[in-house]
Amino acid sequence: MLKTLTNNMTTTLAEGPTGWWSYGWRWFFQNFGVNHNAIETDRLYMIIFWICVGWFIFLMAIMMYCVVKYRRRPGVPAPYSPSHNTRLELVWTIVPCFFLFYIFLEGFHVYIDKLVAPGDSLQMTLTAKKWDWTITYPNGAASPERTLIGPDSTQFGGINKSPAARPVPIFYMPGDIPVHINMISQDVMHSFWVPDFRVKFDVFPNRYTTYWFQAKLKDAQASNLKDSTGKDVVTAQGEKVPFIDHFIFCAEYCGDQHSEMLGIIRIVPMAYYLAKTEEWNIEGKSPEEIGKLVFQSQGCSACHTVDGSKGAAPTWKDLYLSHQPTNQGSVLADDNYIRESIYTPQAKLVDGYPSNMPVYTSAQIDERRMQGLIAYMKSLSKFASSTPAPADPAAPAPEKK
Amino acid sequence: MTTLDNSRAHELGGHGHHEGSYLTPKGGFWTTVWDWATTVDHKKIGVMYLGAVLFMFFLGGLAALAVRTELLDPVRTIQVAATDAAGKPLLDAEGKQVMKTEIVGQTLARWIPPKDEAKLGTVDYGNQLYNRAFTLHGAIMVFMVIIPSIPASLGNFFIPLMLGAKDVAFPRLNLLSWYIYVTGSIFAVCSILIGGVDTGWTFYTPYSTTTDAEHANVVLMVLGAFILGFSSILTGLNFIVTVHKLRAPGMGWFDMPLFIWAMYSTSIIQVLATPVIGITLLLLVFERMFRIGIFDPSLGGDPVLYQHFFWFYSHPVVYVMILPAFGVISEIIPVHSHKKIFGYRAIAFASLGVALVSFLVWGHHMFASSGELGATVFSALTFLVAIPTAVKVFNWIATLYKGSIALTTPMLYALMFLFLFSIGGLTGLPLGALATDLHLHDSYFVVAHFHYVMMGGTIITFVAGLHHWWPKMFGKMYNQFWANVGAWTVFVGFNLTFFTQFFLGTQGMPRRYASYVSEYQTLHIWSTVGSYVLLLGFLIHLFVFIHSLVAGRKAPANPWGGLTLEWEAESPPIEHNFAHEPIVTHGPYDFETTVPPHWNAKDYPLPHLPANAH
Repeated sequence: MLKTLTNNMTTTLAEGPTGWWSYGWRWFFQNFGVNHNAIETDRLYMIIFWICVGWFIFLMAIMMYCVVKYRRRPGVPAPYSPSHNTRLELVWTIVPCFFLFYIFLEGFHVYIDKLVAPGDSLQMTLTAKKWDWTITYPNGAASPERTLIGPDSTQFGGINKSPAARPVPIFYMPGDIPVHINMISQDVMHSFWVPDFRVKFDVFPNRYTTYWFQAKLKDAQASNLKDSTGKDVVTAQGEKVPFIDHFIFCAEYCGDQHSEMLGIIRIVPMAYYLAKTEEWNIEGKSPEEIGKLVFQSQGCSACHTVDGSKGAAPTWKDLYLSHQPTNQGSVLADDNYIRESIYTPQAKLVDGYPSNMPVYTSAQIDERRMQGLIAYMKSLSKFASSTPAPADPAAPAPEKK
Repeated sequence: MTTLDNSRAHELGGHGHHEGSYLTPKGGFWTTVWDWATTVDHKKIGVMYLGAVLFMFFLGGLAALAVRTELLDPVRTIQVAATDAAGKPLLDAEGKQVMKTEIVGQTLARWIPPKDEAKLGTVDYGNQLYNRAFTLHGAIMVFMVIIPSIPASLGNFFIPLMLGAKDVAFPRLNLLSWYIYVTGSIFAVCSILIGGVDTGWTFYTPYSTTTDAEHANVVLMVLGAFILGFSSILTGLNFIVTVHKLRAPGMGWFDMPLFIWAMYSTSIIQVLATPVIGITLLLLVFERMFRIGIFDPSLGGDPVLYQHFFWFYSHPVVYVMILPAFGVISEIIPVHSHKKIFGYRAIAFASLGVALVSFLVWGHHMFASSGELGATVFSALTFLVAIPTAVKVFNWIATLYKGSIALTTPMLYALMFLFLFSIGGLTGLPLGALATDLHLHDSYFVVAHFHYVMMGGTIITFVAGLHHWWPKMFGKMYNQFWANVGAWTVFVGFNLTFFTQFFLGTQGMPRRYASYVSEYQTLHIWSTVGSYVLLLGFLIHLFVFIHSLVAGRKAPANPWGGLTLEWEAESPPIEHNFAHEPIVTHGPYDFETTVPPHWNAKDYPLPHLPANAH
């Protein structure tokens, strides 16, 4: 669907759709054949399209013919013609019914395919909040990788010359295997839409909805993953990593940054997916490392910076044990204040920032991750060294900057 | 053909009390203002509605242009060279240019700078303006323009005239409903003045119950819509009773013009469905103010319940918007082709059928909400609604066959309606089919689809009806050439604006986005250019109408050769509509056997009737 993607997609186009209905699909869909359901949807869409074109031309041709042929001539009355014809009227009532019934049946058929995930799918959960997505992998890890999507991005997911407002998450997914996502929202309604998969489902704050897909990954379709310096990423076995990116859009209006609530689904080989999720697994990591992962994967990095630059929320650089001016007076940013600001963000608001920090629950950020975040903040603060030893002796010595 | 005497009676003497037209001032300026403000004359109320609706159309149109202008350029942050106060490049200690981040592509934020310094140059501020603009556009156009447009202005003016009545059944109630409309609109305008609303016109919970929590904007806007509902209910009630009780002698149900049938069906929906939205909006206000927990999940409510309530009204209301348009088209096409309408009863019953089925399809707005099998039922019922609608289109086109078609401005618009509404209707099919809807739902495809139906259907027809009945309403003709130029401009602008959006939708552009990835920009630019052409078209119409009022030549009583009763009245009609109660002796579309009132047999030769005719 993207110009940046079509470079990668030339071979997909070569094996594009076939059949009488497929003529003209490129007017509507720039990307084809991502998976079975998408192909079926496009097929149905194009069949409906050509039926509509046929009817439309038929009707307009008759209309134009009448307008020209029976234009008014002064002094010439309109000749008599019957104003009612039961047989004709029955025909034009019943014939469209067949078309409509066919479209309904096809729509239902493909809908069921989109609704019901195969039993052996990979299970994941998705949390939506204003204005970010988080996907938790089966091993409890979450992706900390983000990228800036700029209108002028030269390589989707790669280096951006002109970044948009904030970085969006990249979710690594294995190709050629069904993935089943359980979705829940933390605040208002959102809608999870991957246009390339031709499916969206709303995400509610009070009930789970589900989404499933099985994206194709053929080496010929994909380009190879590169790191930030432009070099090919290589696995432990020395292989290059093919990937295909798909955009995620929020499709249910959710407020100020609704149009920035994007994400990327990155289809990679199963082995690489497993390696990545293991890398992000918090087991066996130091609190500071855990904190950094949580910072990136839970969307903190969307608003908070760690280098002191101004973001939509206070920077974490030199935040720990600093004095923050809040609407409750000056507050020392200690462990308890940080904890409170994550679980009940509205309690004390730092002056000059909007009150749009989302509420996190202890299910999302458990005690271990909380300790990690605090350790990570300590590592970023110049004030941390002058304090008594932290509660967690495993925390590394704070770095001075 | 003794009926011709109806219109002539007072000219020939008859009872002989000569009255001025309803437009004749009753005295000085303030006397006239007071007379209009307290009038119970359905014609004056219709004209006042027309004025109010056109004003709101102007406001909603401004918001639409703001939306389109914002979308010319995607929002992005760029690095630019920083300058000092004097405008010279700012250099750092090593003599290198200092760069700063700047946001571009937020036109509205440039025009309306924030009061709060902290918001200056943030993505959020520009997005907030955009979100307010599209909410404003949607809420005004739906609640204050399209719903009352044809029923309240043209309906009020012409239902009694077409029925041969002196007024509607409850004239005072009619005036009350106008004041209620104005009150509701004032609420909405106040809400805009104190900062606007960013919920979208659908007010979906829990967003609408939590946004701008400290402000009264949303409550005011929702209350405005709530109040407007009463105007709608009272007007509907009034029309139902009028149609039942005030038909002229000799006018049976199947002698009524099809406009009356359409308005009757519309009124039934208004009376039955509007109370549901009334309750829903009131609950929404309670939810916001008292946190009672019906729709907000954090209080134990269910947001999908709100959607069910909302669409249980708002889907039938789609037909409140389009059925009157069907009525207008059913008048214009026969009159300007001098041809009996094809399949009168089919059209009349199709109106009622659409009204009935419209109550059963609200679920198709929620296909992406749940993924339940119930969606299948709603999908099937949705396709059912397509059939009576298609039948009407076939009937209108069949009416053209062997007609005597004059390309007057109203007729030109009616033909454009057939073109645009066919596209609007046909593009409903991929939205009604479940599989394709999961892709197209909440995308620009939906935006394009409902603009083809609502604007290409209702607004275009409203303008058509205005041109059709303008001579009757104000007694003045307008410049047909320039009106036709305006019509073509609107047609070109409309298609440019909205046809592009179908492609945006299938390619994945979600609706209500203040910004977008740059792949969509080309189509957005075309769409915005189209909206400016559309503006130009409507401005041409405005000047044509003003010119007509100021310098138009006097309109004859029956400029197009219509057969319905309003053409027997004077142009503009006298205060009591008819000098004598008209008696109906011919059908509304008997163009083959009747010389139209105020015409003579020389100008209107009747065709030769075959022996087996009728």
